[in-house]
Amino acid sequence: MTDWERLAADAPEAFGDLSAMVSAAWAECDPVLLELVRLRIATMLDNPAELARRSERAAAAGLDEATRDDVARWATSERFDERQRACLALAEQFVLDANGVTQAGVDAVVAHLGAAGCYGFVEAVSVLETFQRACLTLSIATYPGPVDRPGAAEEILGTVGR
Amino acid sequence: MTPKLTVPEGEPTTRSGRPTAMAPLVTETRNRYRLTATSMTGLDPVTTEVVRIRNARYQQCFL
Repeated sequence: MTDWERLAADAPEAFGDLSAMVSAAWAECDPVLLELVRLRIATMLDNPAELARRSERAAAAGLDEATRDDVARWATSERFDERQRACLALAEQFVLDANGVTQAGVDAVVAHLGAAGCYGFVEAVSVLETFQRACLTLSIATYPGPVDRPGAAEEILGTVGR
Repeated sequence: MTPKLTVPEGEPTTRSGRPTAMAPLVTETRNRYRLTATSMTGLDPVTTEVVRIRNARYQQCFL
């Protein structure tokens, strides 16, 4: 039994809803972008369990190991394009201090993703940060996965039945 | 507080101006999570409100 399942037994609805939120974020955002952000958040929050994890969805979309391993150097590494840099910069600032997010930071993401894409991206970053902080707070290192598989959010929404 | 992101004309929003169709799955699941969390009785309402206000102040969120 995973840490997640052990704790979810006490609050199945809350854990189910949190899991659905994470799945929804993966469903509505570019998986490569989201995987890079997930790893960056894991580094910033000192979350070794998340750093050890791999998104199969991102790998299938073309994210290679060398780029994954270079996330901490996204600002200078040639492996990252301007779109990824803009998103990683916004995500970093979001995690460090959301009030420090600048108009220029948002505009840079909008220039690459559009307004709706930027909104979806910020929502996804917020969800992944919430999830990682909850796991760290409750010492959840293992959970049934993968939560990023296609259709997971829709399945969970359909089975919750509320 | 001036929004940093311009919501396109005609985009459906909540009363607080939050778009509902730009990320529909996350919006739906977040609403469910919020409803579930607020209906949990493990934490008394006074403590819940104190935590909410403390977090809002920490994040400088005055909405």
